[in-house]
Amino acid sequence: MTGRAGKPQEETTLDALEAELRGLPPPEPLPGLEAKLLAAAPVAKTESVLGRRRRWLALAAVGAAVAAAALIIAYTFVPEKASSEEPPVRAALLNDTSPAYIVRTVIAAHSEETRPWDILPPFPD
Amino acid sequence: MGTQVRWWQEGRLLSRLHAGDPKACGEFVRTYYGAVYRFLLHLGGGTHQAEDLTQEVFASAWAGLAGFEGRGSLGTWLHRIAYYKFLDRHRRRQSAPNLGDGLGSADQCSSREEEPAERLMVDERARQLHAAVQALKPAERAVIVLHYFQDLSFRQMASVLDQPVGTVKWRTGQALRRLKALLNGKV
Repeated sequence: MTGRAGKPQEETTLDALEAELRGLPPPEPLPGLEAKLLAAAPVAKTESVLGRRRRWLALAAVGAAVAAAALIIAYTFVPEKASSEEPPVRAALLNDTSPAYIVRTVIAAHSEETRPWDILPPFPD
Repeated sequence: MGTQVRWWQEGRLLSRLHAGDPKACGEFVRTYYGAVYRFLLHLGGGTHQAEDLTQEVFASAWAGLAGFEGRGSLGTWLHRIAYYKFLDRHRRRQSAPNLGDGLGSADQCSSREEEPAERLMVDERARQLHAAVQALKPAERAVIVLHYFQDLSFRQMASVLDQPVGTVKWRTGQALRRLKALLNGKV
């Protein structure tokens, strides 16, 4: 066995062997291998899968936006509308004491013509 | 491995691959195919098997890329796929490594700038080294190739070989000693 300088090879030490192994020139890949691998790269497939994923993401985003808008509308407008309405008891009280209600009620209750004996004091005995 | 890629570059490349960037697919192939091919060629079986397995490795990589979360490096992941592809092929064929078709040929191992006489000596020594590496058992050969030819750290090797780091270190030392014995004609 001969060394790098052509001298008779002495016993290879581990350090020298490590250095030799690291220093070996790497073999070149076969010509055309890169082109074959690039041709086999599933660009279209990857895009379609990711395109589908993107479409789902877009749909999810639109759905989330619609839900958020609905929530905002609900919290913004519905409570205001509810607060503008009086509670039922209070509304009833207001109605019962309003002049329009009293007039309407009185008229409704006394729809007949007022009779004199109803408003005049009774005859003395 | 031959082409060391920084983790942040690799992270960006992985994001672009997951996003379906066609340029990233090309970059992925160009960055790693050489290292994968060299690894398979050093493991044995000849240039045609190495080429064939490299294509299988990338086919598996494309299929599994969506599930790759980037916990390890892309290079380590590809080496792992390559190693198991090689073992699978080796088990199926149970054929002796073919030196004549692969790294035994001087043209693939030599530096082109050297003078013919010196080149012949270097080629001879390189041929001896490659022959001795090929004479190792597959498991010994794998650790030598991964550590000294592919320049992987013990941690990366542990990930490729699915073994503890300590075991990988010990096996590398053992394989190196056996390689030395082979070269010194003691085996």
